Amino acid sequence: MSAEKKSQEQRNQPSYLGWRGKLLARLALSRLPNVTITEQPKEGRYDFSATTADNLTFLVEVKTLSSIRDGILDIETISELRRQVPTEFLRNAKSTQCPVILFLFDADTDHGRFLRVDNLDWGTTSARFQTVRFPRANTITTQSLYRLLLELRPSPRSERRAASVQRIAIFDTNAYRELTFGLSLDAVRNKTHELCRLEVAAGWSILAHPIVVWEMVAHLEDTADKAYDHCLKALVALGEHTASRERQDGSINLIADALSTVCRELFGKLPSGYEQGLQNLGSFVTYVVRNAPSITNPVARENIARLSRGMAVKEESWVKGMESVLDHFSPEAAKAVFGGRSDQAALKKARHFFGSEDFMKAWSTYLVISNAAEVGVLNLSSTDIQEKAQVVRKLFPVPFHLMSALLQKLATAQPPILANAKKKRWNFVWDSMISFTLGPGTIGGAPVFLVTGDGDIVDAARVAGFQNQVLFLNDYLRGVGMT
Amino acid sequence: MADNPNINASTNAIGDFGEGLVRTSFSRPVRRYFRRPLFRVAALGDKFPIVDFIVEALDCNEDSLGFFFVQAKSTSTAKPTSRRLGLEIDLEKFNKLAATPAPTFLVGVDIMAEKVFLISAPKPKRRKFYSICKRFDLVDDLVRISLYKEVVGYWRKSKHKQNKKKTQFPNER
Repeated sequence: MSAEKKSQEQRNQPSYLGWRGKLLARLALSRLPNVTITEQPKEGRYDFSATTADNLTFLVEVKTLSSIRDGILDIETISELRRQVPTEFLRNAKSTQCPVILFLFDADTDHGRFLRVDNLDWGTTSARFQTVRFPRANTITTQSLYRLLLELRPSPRSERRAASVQRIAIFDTNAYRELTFGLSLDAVRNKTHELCRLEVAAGWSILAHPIVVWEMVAHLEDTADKAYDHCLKALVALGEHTASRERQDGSINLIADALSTVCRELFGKLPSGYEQGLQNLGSFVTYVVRNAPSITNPVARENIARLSRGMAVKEESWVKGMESVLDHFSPEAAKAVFGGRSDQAALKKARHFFGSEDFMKAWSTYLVISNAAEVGVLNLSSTDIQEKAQVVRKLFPVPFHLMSALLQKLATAQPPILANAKKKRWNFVWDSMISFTLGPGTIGGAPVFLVTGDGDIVDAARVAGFQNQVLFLNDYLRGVGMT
Repeated sequence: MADNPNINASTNAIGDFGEGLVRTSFSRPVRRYFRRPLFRVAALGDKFPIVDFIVEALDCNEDSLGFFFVQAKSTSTAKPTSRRLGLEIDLEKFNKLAATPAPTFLVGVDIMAEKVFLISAPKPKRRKFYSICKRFDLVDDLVRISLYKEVVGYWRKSKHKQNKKKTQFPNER
């Protein structure tokens, strides 16, 4: 609960309820041996966090009542104590990636009860408050708290299951948009949480692709953007879906983008500022998950604008690179494709080039040289370049086939709309960058799958021999048991 | 811990739990007449070797009417039926507490029964002692009310004797 709402609640109560409740909570938590207690761990949102010796963490929110003021006698005998709790608090508890326990104390008798609230099913009501019930069986004693810890701890069987990640999935932008289509924000969160639960049982681990985040963020720059609302929900779904199960602090698991992936494979280095950039991106997504639909924080707005500008720069850079590749082959063809000229002969020449082995070699060479520059490697011999170009094609076959197919489509008199006609021509660049995740490589020994509805990616994967690593969303959901 | 005597607790756990019991026991509201907490407790930590807690007596606005010092000893091996609470009391430490020119008390904490018993430390003792009586259980409202009256009375008397205007440290212009 936010500090502001807490202080408002406290204004209506005797002042000792607040500090006495916390004292009683500390006493209760100190019944558990080897538990580290932290006060106000999440910027005042919760009163305590408790971490056991084996790294089980749970959050505690404390509520108090006064049996003297409320005229309650023998409170410990009452079968069920009820309390009104803001729906927003329950919603936030559900989105928190670790258990949230509500403690209710009678500040006058020290009687206390607990209730786990992050797994409560309170439906989709729009009411501002919900009634939560504390049964007498949940009276706080040493034994009952030990029992609670056992319930919070995953069972050995599910622990083994959760620990054995067999496959890794990455959802592209359209997969998240399809997953969240027509749903309210609450429904998005609920659906994503259910999906996460099924995925753990099925041995899937989920990573977020930076490109997917960027694509969604680009639509958040302008609140009048038709896709604003849907992309916001899709981004929340991404954040909830890829939240780290190990860290349980809301941070997400991100996969490296295409540039970093290639640099790491070819040169063993990452571009400067890459890790910080990734961290910032992750933090931004976490902020959106926690604050949606209201993302008015000036820093967040600045991040959105900066990410959008960054996307435009990357697109421009890609176009220039591709133009230079084609220009090297045929200046007329380059002018025809990228200059928008309707020279039929030149376009035909371009199509032929894009479908040839020469293009594959030329583009792979371009990738090696441009990525070397990103990590400061400037003295590659032609032999080095050729060798690394072959490595790139071997490790990342799908983007080459995808780019070849897309550029052949582009080099026509009436090219298909591969882009957002309103803003940019080269949006398809992003899909091809996502396809760098497909190939023979694994992450921690687990193969990587891309969940997408994009037919071009599916076709390119088939040509490259990796069609089994591409899944349509509906197939994936059926596979994990989500109807 | 009262409900599971078989749970083994480390010394730190006993200390933390004992501290929690002391703080909640003193600060528990009384129903009779006052209908509010009479005391607020602050733990002083290891930096104060003689005193474990400073306890304020509060008025209805939670303003301080005076305070007293408390030394606490916890035990997890007390016999439930014993008339007295067996404690390992450091005589030198107790005597230093008793010599402090302010109200001073010793509390014994029975960890397993979750009870806190109080005795005063009015003057130093010559001989070591190994237990305290269980007569003054802090769970009893009357004990806390009597303690409150004693402490508040002490400071009221002290105020009459003390002339604050005769200080050597005025805020000069």
